[in-house]
Amino acid sequence: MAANIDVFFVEGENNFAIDIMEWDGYVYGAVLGTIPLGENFNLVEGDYPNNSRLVVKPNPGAEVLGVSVSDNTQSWDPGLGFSLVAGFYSAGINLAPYSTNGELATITADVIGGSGPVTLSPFNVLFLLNNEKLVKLSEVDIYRNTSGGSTERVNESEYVINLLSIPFEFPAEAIGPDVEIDMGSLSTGVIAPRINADIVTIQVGDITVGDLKNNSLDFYETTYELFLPFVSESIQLDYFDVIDKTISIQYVLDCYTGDVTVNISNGGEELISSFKAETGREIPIQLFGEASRQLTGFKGLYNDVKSAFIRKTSPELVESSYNLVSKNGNLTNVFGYVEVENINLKTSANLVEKTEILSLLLNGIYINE
Amino acid sequence: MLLTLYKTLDGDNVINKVLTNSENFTINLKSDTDIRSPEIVLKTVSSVDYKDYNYCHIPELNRFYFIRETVILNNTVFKLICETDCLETFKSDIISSNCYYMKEISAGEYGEVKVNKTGNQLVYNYISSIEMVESDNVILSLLKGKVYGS
Repeated sequence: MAANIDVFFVEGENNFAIDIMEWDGYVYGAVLGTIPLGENFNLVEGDYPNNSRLVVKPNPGAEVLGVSVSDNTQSWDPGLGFSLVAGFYSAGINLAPYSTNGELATITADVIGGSGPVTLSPFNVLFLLNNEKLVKLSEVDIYRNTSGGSTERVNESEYVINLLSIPFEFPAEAIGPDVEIDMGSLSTGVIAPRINADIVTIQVGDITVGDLKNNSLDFYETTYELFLPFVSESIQLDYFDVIDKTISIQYVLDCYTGDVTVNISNGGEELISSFKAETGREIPIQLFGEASRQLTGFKGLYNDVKSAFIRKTSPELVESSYNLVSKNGNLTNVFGYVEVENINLKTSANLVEKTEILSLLLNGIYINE
Repeated sequence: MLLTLYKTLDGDNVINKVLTNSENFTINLKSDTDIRSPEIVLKTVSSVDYKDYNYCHIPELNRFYFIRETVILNNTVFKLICETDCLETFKSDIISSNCYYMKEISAGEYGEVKVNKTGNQLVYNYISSIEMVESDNVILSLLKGKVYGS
């Protein structure tokens, strides 16, 4: 006998417990563990009591999004209707060994856990839609029985906090399992992936400024400006934050508003810049009891820029001339063109010769190797 | 005293000039010779064309000279009008003296710079390692549970 139990979890360590109870509530066995996203969990082979009850319990910080069971042997009818009882999904199941040759039964449970910290408000639920699912949702007819026995069409959109179009692909690691969208007591029949967190981190990439001369010309009258995809703000970076560093950009998206916190780092422990920007577009919908809904328009920037980039602007130098850097010290092992602005000249030359030397040095000399 | 004639292609403002075609002569200077700008009279030597030389050294005077003019006094006598090359003559003093100077910039050198600009601006874009993908994603945020009265 084998049964597949699909349990959808969110969150990390020890995110679930499955109690195996006898019919009278005696906990016969329990399983506690951590199930990474997409990995399977095998309920260990064992001798389970007849007519047991499985109670799937999320641990603190985790949430059970749904439980389902399938039987791939057709050897028994689980007859399961996992129901939410006192915060746990519970169902009766015949776990008795279906043994024809004395072997113990094998129960297999596929448990899918989420990943990343749960930041989702316990009051709300988030779904990720696309245009197709949005159309389906818009076509749901909503009726309910009135106290007078008739039906009336009602607007359940009072449950809608926001409908936010975001211009970029939502990060896969924040997307949970597909579940049906419920608006209050209404099951819409539209299946869509739940979003695991309402604060989502999006990696925008790393940028290394190359073609450096590794001298003062890398910052002489040179600006480094960071442009960001889907965000209207650009930011001036200090040269010392850019040169010989890798700039990393991260968006932290507020799924309710489309606001992003742009975090910029360059390999150190601290951010070199952090600021708030806006992305996305609120889709206007008619809310119950509201006469109109204000249009907000684009909150970010839609300009076909899909990658962050640093724009370096510097003056073009005349290649045939000399570009000089100031130094202190003597001229030992200094070769090439040199202009000496001040010198403490220790020499036996006479005054006329010293004056000539100073004039030559000031106007520029060449020192051959 | 010894006079060595040379040919050099380097300019006046060069230290460590490249000297070639050396030719030694023994000379006597007049008693009133200005060692800073000596005029040296030489007899013609069959194998030497004085016009080929533009530089000379007199070790006894510890000086290097530019030959500014070569004057033919008659068929057998030339006069070399010389001027001290202060850079080459006092180069060890110059090189060993502490100074504030500007040199050609190379990798690893930082400080105040002095450059010649064309007036144009150079613009380079350095692109991120990640290209974000456009999408039709819509986030639907809902209140969880029942709203009273609905």
